[in-house]
Amino acid sequence: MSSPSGAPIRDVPAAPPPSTSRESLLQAARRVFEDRGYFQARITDITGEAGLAAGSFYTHFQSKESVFDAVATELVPDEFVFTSPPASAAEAMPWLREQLRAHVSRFVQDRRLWLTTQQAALGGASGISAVRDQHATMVERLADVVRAWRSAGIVEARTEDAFLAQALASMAEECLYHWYLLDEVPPPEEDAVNKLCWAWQRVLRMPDPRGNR
Amino acid sequence: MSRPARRSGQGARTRGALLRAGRRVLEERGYHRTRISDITEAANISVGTFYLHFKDKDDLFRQLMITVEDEVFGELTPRQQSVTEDPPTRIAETNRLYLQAFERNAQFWRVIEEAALVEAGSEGILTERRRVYRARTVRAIMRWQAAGLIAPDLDAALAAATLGSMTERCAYHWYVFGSPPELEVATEQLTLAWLDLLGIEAGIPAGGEVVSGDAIRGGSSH
Repeated sequence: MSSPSGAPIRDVPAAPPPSTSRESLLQAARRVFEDRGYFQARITDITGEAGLAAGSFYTHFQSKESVFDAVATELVPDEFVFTSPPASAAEAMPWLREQLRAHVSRFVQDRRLWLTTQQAALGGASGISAVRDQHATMVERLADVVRAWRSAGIVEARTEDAFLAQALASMAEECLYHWYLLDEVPPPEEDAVNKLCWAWQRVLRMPDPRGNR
Repeated sequence: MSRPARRSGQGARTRGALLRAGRRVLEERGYHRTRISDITEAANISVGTFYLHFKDKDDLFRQLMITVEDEVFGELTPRQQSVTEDPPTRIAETNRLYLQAFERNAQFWRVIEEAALVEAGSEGILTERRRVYRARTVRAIMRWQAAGLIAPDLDAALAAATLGSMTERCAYHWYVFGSPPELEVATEQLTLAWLDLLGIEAGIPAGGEVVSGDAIRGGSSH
């Protein structure tokens, strides 16, 4: 399956050479799922890609679903993203921009896997928990940020904290999906960061250090 | 496009039965796993007859999709067009209608999204529909800018894209995957986010709880 946008797919970050056949299978599975989509991928594609005998698959995984679940856990946001926000208003926006930059770059890198996970979940197969976990993690972290900043007087949004977190995470996810998986010409990452920053700052009602709102 | 099959009373009934069965089966099995024979069995109609009405599974799916999409996106047409209509009311109404239509059709919407992720064609239709909807939002924002209700330098296209995305994806997580909040609460909360982004200080009138934090906020445009 080629990219719907026809855009070149950036390589998955150079993974260290696999140390075990389980690791080889995981790396191969990710490539196969990204290329063929969830439903078209077959176990023999994965073992073939890994250069292993078909039977070896079952030493490590029970089924396509189980290897997919293992691959999909790679989508959970990086540990540090959107955690430990600064407590001062002056540092808040620059910090948020940094976090969004990391988030956008991660999405761009993982976009094929993200798409496959959505397919699997919607198709009623596996992947529902991966979709939920990934989104829920992001929402929880943002909710913590919003709560901390509201009590520090940095955020004055009228929307309640929990909804706010849900709204921000959803906005970013859908925008990134459109820009990097549907649009003919994906925007430079910095544009995406600027746009999301602008929208988030307004929804959060945060002061802008430059005095704009 | 479906073949111009017999549109006699019998033909129309058969077609209707296939569409209803198709929707049921697609919602149960998902786009990918649905076979034409599942649909014809559910409708108790022969496979050969199916092909008198539809070219293939995708053809039937598209007919269904157009109906559902018209409901979800199409209902957003404002009842009356008035420049002076107060933005909070209009925005709240639009969000409410969208969420309601989405909720009613959540199961089928899931099928649409699934197909859209895989079939370039369906994706194209969704994109087209979304563009129409976004354009409508942009026009509303621009009218409000002209009326002095929103800062003139606000980027209307970017506001429409980010806010539309926010509402769509929230609905998707709530109704397809999650446990949805109560409709009025969801409507109110989303609307407040719209108002904050647009820099509209007024809260949601009538019916709505009075919006907290009518707070003093540094000028919304300078």
